[in-house]
Amino acid sequence: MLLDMAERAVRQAINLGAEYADARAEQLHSTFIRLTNERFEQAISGVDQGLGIRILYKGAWGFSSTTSLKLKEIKVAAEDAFKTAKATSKAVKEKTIVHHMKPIKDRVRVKVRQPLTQIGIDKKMELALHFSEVARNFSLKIISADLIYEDEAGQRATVSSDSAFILTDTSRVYVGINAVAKEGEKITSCRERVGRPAGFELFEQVNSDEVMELAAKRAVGLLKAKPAPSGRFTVIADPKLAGVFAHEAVGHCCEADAVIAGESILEGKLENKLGSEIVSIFDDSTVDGGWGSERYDDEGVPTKKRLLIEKGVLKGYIHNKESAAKLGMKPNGGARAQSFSYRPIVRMSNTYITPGDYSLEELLEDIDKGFYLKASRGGAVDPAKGTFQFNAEEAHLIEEGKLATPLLDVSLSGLTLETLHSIDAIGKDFESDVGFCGKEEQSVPVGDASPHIRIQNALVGGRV
Amino acid sequence: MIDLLEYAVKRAEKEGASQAEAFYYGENNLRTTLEKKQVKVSEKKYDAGIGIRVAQKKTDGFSIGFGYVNNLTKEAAAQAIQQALKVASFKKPDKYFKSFQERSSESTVQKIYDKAITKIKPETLVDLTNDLIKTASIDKRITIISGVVSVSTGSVAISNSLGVSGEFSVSSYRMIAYVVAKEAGSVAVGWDNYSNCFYNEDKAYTVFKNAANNSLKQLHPKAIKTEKMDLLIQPQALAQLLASTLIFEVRADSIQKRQSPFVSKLNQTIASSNLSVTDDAHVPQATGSRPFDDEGCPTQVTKIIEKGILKSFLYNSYTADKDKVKSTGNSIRSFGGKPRYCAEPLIGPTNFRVFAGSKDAQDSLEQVMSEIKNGAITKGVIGAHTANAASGEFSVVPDVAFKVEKGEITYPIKQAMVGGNIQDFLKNISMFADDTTQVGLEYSTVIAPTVLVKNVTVSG
Repeated sequence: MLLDMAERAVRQAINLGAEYADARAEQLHSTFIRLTNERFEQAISGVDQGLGIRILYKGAWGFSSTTSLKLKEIKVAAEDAFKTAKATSKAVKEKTIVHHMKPIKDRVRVKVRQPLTQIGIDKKMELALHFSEVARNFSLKIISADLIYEDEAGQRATVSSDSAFILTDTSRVYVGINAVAKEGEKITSCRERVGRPAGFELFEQVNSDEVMELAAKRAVGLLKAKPAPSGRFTVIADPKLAGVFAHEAVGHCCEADAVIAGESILEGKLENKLGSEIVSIFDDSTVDGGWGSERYDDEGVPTKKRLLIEKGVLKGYIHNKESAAKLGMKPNGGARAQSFSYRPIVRMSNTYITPGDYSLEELLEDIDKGFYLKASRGGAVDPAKGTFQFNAEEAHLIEEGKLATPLLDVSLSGLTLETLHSIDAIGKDFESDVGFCGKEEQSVPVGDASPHIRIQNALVGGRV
Repeated sequence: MIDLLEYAVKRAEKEGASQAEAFYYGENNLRTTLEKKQVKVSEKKYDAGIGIRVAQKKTDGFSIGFGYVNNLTKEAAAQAIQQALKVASFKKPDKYFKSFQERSSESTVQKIYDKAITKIKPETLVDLTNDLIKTASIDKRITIISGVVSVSTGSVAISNSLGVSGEFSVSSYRMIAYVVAKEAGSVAVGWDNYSNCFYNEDKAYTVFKNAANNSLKQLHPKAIKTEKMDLLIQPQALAQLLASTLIFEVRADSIQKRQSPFVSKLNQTIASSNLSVTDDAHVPQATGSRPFDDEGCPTQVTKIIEKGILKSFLYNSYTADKDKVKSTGNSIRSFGGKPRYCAEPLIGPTNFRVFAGSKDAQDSLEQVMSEIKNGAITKGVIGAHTANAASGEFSVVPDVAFKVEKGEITYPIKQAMVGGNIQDFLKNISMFADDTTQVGLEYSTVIAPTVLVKNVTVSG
């Protein structure tokens, strides 16, 4: 049914005179639970359905979306998309072209043992309560636990005029916790998250209780932390923080739309050496069980493992059909939209730094005085200037090759290109984290992953 | 639409709800997006759905459940009711919940719906946007002009078991312009925005001209040294700052959860004796105006700060019942950018008006600036969302900021930092300019003039 609707919309667009069209029709059941200790701040479940159609006419884009899936309304949406494209075409100076793909027809199913739609919201609320309890029972110093449970399951049809006729089952589930600890006047907090394209069975497969406890344990550990010095030091970033660096500082600069818009420092740098030889970075939508994984992107292009940086050399960008055509390259499945009501734009999926061969002990042993930084509490990146600043969630001073005093409020900042050169050793471990990435008002699930990395002469800020 | 909502309420009652409430929001949006000095895309979106709340009476109180659908059929409504009932059966009762909004007299609002907006065609907006690009292309140092011009019409409807029943239409006209200028290694960004219920092309030209001028004026900024100075905070900067601090802190739920520095500060002096703040849902043409709130409670004008004294908090029906007061009509459904029907009601402002406590305390911006020996003026702030709302502490970067010396703007400021807490800021506001501007937030506005804050530490 969804496939039929998307196909009708696309066919109508072509009949109206569109040179290219793609449509997505969706029906998704979603749950959102927010629990503070024992109080449910939100417990929302609902059904989101709708269709979005995008049209290219005389080199200009138009888009329309509707939450009604009545045939009459789908027709109106296709006409509206055409009208908007036609209006844009009168003003467009530089005509847009898209790279056409080979036809592909597919039905993507997900292996789910416990479908999310068959688990009542009451069961999900019960689980949330359990997780919150686990965190709060860890220590008397844990004064509160903020828990978010989110899931989404249903179907999405993707049809494009050049190639795609795809129906995808989707099922994804996510839990995030923020544990807050208190001792005297001091209050600390730490987050942990679990997310996967899976059904409710995820919670049998992953020891999620351990994850909740870890958040609590880390928050309690931070109670002993002291204010940090600032200056230039050798830094070891843990897999989570290094993953955030790969995503925020490097990945965003590899998005081809940013490159074309002149908003990336990596414009015109393909095949240039940007970093030390030990650094290789991928953005890979095909990671099995990856939080940002999809078989097809939202233009119906088969996704890929995209090589961004190989041994320090910039090898590729993330593309959609438009950016690929513009730069004379091939689409690689990087077009994603938050939902049917948004246009697909160039996005990352699972971004990671590949492992090296150092153990954490080996990374540490040469350091007389340095910082060990763990996870990120947020920060800011300017892809056009190539600057970044991340606030580590946890930090330790490194003294004579050993982890010493825990530190508070440490941030890591620098120039992305300088930093890529300053990475002088990479761990052999590998750990992934899940999150949501926002761009142009659209949020999509993404995964980050990395081993531990060591950065020489990094700028560390604290409050002294 | 009321028919479907009334059906949903009756059906929920039949299926076991002690009380029920059905809320509808539907919107038609037309927008053009411009990138790199050209129109990138125009879009037309229709989004509508209903959210249903049920209250189930148990031995020691009511439990509340919620569900939504964006399919406007009776069958879909039944699905949402089932979900809502499931949540209510699971949740522990809340002893503070008394009932959903009771029926009361209506309030009226002028000029929140501009019929002209329904007639705007994609071509009209594209032509306007194209002209805006020309308007902003005032200098060859300008390399990027981007932004969004958007018009919407929407309607809100609500019905509940207590006889509340109503609907109204709204419209909005919003835009944001970003302009980048480059010269000899210096890159500067200028911006401006506008929001109103009524369509007005002249305002669009002003916004894009301002953004262009701002970007040029920001070229070749200079670093400043860290010191205490007088800071002129323009309406947009004040709106960004207040949205993440004061507005959160005067919400009754923040007070009840003790996440505000204003707990037990009612009728005490919390700001400069010159400062008054109201939440005014009846400002003509303001995008925060509405006849009733998202629970169907008639809206009003609520005095929050009067000449420096804290007078009231913002209430929805639940927090009002808990404090045994009347709701101020500030129930708002807002849920991280998702459509309003997806969200359970929380608390938010309508039009948050900041003004001088007495009329003669207003001066022209030039006059206010002439009082400054050493200071700065900033149009916006970056990073306000990182403020700690519970304590009022913030640390933000002035955006489109200039140094002011001996009453005059002298040069653009390179990356600086302003830190402090909103309580001190409110006490140190000493002058008000007469440039009151309406700044649009998600479903509300801040209406404020430029204010002069004394003794602010600005770090270079």
